[in-house]
Amino acid sequence: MAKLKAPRNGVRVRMYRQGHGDCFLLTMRGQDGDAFHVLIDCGFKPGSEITAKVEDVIKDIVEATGGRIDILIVTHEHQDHVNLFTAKLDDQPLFDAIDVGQLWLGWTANPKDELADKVRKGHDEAVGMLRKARKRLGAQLDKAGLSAGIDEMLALEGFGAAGKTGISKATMERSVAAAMRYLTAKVPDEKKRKYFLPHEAVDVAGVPGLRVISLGPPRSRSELNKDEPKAAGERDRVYDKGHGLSFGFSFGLGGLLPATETDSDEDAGEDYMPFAAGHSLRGKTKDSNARFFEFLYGKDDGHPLGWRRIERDWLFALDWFARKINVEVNNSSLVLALELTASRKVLLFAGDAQYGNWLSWDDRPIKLDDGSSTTVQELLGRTVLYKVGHHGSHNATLKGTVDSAYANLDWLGRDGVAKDEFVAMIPANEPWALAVKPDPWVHPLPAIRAALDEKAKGRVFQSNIDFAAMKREGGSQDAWDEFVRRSKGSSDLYFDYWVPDE
Amino acid sequence: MAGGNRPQFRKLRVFAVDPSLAAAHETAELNELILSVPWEDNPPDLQAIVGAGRMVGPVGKYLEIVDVDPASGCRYAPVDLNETYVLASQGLAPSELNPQFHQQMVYAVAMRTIDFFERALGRVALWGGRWVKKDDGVEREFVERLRIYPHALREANAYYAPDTVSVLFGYFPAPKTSKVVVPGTTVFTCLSHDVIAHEVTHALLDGLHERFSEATNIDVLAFHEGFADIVAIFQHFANPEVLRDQIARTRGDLEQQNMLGQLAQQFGAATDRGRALRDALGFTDKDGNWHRYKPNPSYLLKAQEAHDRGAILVAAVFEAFLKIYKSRVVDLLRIATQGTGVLPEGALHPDLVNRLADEASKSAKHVLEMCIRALDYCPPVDITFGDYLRALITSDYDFYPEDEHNYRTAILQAFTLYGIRASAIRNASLEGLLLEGPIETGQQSASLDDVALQWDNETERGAVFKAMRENGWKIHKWLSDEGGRKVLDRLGIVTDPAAPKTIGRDKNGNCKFEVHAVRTALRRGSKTNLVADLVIEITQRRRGFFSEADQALADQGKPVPGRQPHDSDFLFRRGCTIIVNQRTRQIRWAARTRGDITSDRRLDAVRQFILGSTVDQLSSFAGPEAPHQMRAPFAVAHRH
Repeated sequence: MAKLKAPRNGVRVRMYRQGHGDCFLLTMRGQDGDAFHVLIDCGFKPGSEITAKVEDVIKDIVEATGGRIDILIVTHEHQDHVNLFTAKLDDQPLFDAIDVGQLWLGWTANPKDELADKVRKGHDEAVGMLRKARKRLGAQLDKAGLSAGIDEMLALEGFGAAGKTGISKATMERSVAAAMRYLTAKVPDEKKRKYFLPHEAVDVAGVPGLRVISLGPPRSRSELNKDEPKAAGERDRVYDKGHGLSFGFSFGLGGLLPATETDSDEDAGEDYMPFAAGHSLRGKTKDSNARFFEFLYGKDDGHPLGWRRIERDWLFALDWFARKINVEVNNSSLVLALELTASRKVLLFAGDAQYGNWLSWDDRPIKLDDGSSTTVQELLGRTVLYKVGHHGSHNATLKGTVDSAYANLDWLGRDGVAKDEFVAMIPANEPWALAVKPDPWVHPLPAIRAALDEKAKGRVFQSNIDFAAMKREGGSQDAWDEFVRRSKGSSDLYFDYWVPDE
Repeated sequence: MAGGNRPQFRKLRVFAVDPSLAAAHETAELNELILSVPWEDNPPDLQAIVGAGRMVGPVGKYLEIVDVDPASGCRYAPVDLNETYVLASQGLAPSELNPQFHQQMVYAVAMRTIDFFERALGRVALWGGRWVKKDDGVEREFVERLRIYPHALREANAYYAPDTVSVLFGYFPAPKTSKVVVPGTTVFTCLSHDVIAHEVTHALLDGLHERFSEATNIDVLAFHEGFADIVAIFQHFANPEVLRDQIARTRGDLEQQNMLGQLAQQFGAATDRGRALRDALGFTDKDGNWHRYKPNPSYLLKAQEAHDRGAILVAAVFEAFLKIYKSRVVDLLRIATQGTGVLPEGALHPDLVNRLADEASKSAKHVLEMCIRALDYCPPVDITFGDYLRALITSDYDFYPEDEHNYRTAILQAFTLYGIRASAIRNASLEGLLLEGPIETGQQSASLDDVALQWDNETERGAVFKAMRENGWKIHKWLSDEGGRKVLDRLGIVTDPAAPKTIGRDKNGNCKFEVHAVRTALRRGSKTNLVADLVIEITQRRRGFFSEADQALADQGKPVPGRQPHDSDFLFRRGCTIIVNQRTRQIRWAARTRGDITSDRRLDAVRQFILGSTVDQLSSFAGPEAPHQMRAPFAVAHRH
C-alpha cells in the first residue's frame, strides 16, 4: 500500500471493490514526471461489502496518493457515489487526511447557474414532498407493500433508512448534502471548481497528453440554442428527448403531496379533499347507499368482487414519483470521456447516466482546443475502457446498432486497437443486489453483462468477482495475456488496470 | 313503469369538452351537450338490493360506476338517474362540485362510445375477460360490466387497468404555475369528454384484441393510444353542435381550426398529457393560434414513445378526414361563392354553417366507422401501423366495394404522407394493400358445419361469450383434422413436430395452436345484403429467453441451467386472423403476423425490443418486464 508512482504513459485505473458503488482512482504522469491523481466518486450501499472494509479502501487511497488528490470528480449526488467522503473511523473523517486540488462537477451543481438553481430547487422540493407523503401515508404504504421501494429511493437521495454496514468499522452518514458540503469546504477557492456543461472539451493542465470531454448531463437544447431560428412549421420536439432536467412532473400529484410552507419534517401536510364534506360517505350506515357499495365493492379483498378493488392504486403514483426522481438524478450524471491525445484512446466514465442522458449526446461536432473537432460517435468508437453506467442496469447501457440515431453500446470500442483492448468495469455486488428485499436489483442485467463479455472477450471487471476467476471468452490468447499483464496487482481491495498511451 | 311505455333513449347532460369552456365568455354557450344514450334500468341483481325502478350508480348492462375514493377514505353517493327531478331536467346540471354529476357524465359518454363501436361493428361489444387459475391452467371468465371509478386517483392521470377490467380516473389541484386553470381548482379527469372516450376505447379494444396490450414492438402500445385518441376525437366531431361554432369561426376551413388542438383541453392545459398530443400535431404561433404541422414521414422515424407514435397515427387519420370533408363540401362552397371560390367577408350565412357542420360530422362518423371496422382485419398479435393500414383498406373494400368518393384513396394518401407503410407487399397501391386471399379450404368438414355464430346487436353478451369459446373448440377441431393441416400450412401455423421445443405442445407432442377468438364481421353482399363473415384468430406461442444461449438450449428441448422446465423470460407469439365466408367456407382474407413461430429472426426482434424498450423507463432496478406480465401497461404509459 505504498504511494503510487506515475506510469510511464497512459492512465492507471484502480477500481476499488468496496461494494455496490463507484470509487475509481486514476493515476497519470504529470508535467514534472510525478504522479497526478484523479478520484471519480467514492461511495457504496451500506452492507454491500465484498471482502474489503471501507476504511481499508480509504486508507489505500490516502497512501496511494500520498494524501493529495489533484482532481476530485463527483458524477452525481447519490448515496452510493458520495457517502464514503464523510466516512468516519473513531469519530474522525477518514478523508481529512487528503488534500484536494480541484473539484469537478456537472453544471447542475453550479451555485451561480440560474438553470441549475431551478433544477436543484425542483429536486429538493420533489424530495421534500416525497418524504412528507412517505411519512403521512406510512400506514397505507406499508399495507400496499410500497414502503420499502420508496425508502430505497430516499436512501439514495440521502434520506430514509441508513442501512446497516457490513464488515466495516467505519461509520457512514446518510446525508448526501453533508458529503457535498464537506467536499466544497475542501476546495474553498471557487477558481478551483469546475462545473461542466455538456460537450465541453478541456485539456487537463498539469497532465500533458490528456483531454477531457463531457458528454452529459443534458441541458435543454432551447437553453443552449436560444438564438437558433426554428424553421417555420418544423417540429423538433423529438430532438428535445433527453434534454432538460426539470423535475416538472411533480404537479398533478398535488393532492398526494401537499406542499406546505414549512420545511419541518414534522408537518406532514394538510388534508386535501376534492368535494365539500357533505358529499363524503364514511363509516357504517345501513341505508341503500351502504348496501350498494357492499354489493359491488365490499370491505376487503375477500369479497366476491374483491379482485376489482382499487385500494392501493392511488399510491402507485408515489412509487413512480420516487423512481422518477431517482432517474432524473441519475440522468444528471457528469459523463466524461478521457482522451489520451497521443494514441487517441478514450476512457469513458458514465456515472449513472441512463436513457435520457445518452440520448442527449449531440450528433454535432465538438470543437477541441487545438481547432480540430470530433464527434461523440468517434469518441465512443475509440473507447478502450468503459465504466459501465449504474451498476450495469437496464436502460443505463443502451441497445442499438452503429446506425442508430442515438449513442449505444454498439458504438463503443469499434475502431482500431479499441477492438482488441476494450475493457469494461462494472461496479456492482451482484449477489448482494439480487438479495435486496422485497424486489431484487438486477445489477448487472444479464443481457448487458453478456453483451459486454462478448465485446470485451471476457475482459469485464465486476466488483464481486475476483480477478483470478475472470476468464477469456473468445478473442486471442495474446490479447488476454496482455490484459493480465496490465492488471497486475489486482487484489481483494481493488482491480488495478493500466491503459497505455501507445 | 309499464314496459310498453319505456323510452328508447335517455337524454343526459354533459360538458361538451370539459369545464374550462365555461370559464371563457366566448365559449360559455358551448359548454354543454345533451347526449342520447340507450335507456337502461338497474340490472335485476342490483334491483334486489336497492329497489326496483331505479337507475342507481349508474349501473346498467355494460357499465357500473362505483364512486369509491380510497385516497380520501370515503365514497360518494351513487346518483339515481330515474329520480323524477333528474329525469325532468335531462339529467343533473353540469357541475364540477357535485360528484353525482361526474357519475352521470362518465356514464353518458362511455355509453356513447360503446354505441359507436356497436354500430360500426354491427354486433354487441364485449369487455376483456378475467383470467382465472383453474386446475388445468388459466381460463378467461366473462366480465359483464366495465367498472369505472370516477375519483380513484390523486394524480393527473386516467387509465384502463386490464387486470381489474376497470377505468380509473384521477383528480388533482391545478398547480401554482397553471395559466389556464386557476391554481388550486381541482381538475377532474372524469369531466373531460375526450379522456372518458379515450379510456373506454382502451377497454373496448382490449375486449376485442386482448393481446394488443402486450408491447412486443414499437407500434403496439402506440396503436392503442392512437386508436383511443382517434375514437375520442371523431366521436366528438360527430356532434354537429360542437363543430358549428368552429366552422363559423374558421369560415368553413377546418385546416385552420384548432378543435383538434383542444383535445382534453382542461386536462391538457393543466398537465402534459393533452398538450403532448397537441404539440405532436401542431404548434402555437406567437399570436396564440394553433397550427397543424405539415405532414412529414421523418416524424415517424424519430418518434420512439407510444404517445408520440400514436399521435402520428392520429394525424394521418385526421389528414384523411380533412380530405374527405373538403371533397364533400366543394360543391356547397361553389354554390355559396357562385363559382368564385371566394367567400364573402364577415360571418358565414347560418344555413351554410349548418350544412358545413353537417358534412363535417358525417365525414367524422364515416371515418370513425372505418377505423373501428378495420379492427377485425388486423393480425391477432404484434400489430404494426402498416398492418392497420391494410386492415383499413381491406375492411372498407368489403363494406363499400365501390369507393364512390375515393375515401380509401384519401386514407392511403394521408398515411403515405406520414410515412406509414405496410411491409412485405408487392406494391403500395390500393390493390396491393389488400390482405392476402382468397384461400381455398378444400373439402367441407362436418365440424365446421356446427359453427353457427349469431352475433348482432340484439344478441345477449354472456351467450355470445360462451358461444365464442364453444365455436373456438369446433374450429380448432376442424383445423386439427387432416384437411385442416393444409390450411394451417397456408396460414403459417406450424405443425411440424421437428419445430423448436420451445413452441407450446399438446398432450401428443404436436405443436399447439389456439383458436383465440371467433366473431362475425359485416360486409356488403350482393345488392342490399349485409353478410356476416366469420372472423377467426389463430395463434401459437413459444417460450423466449433473453440469453441466446439459453434460447438455443431450450429450443432443443435441453434443460436451461437455473431455470424450471416451463420457464421463459418472455412469450413470443405469432398467428393470423382469417375472415371466412360462412356459406362457402372460403377463407376470404388472411392477416398474418410477420414470420411464423419458428422465425428466430422475429423472436430476436421481440427480444431486442423488450431489452431496449422504453415502455417503462423506470425499471433500472428490476430490469425489463415481459410484456404479457405487465400489470398496468397503460398506467405507466400515461404518466410523464
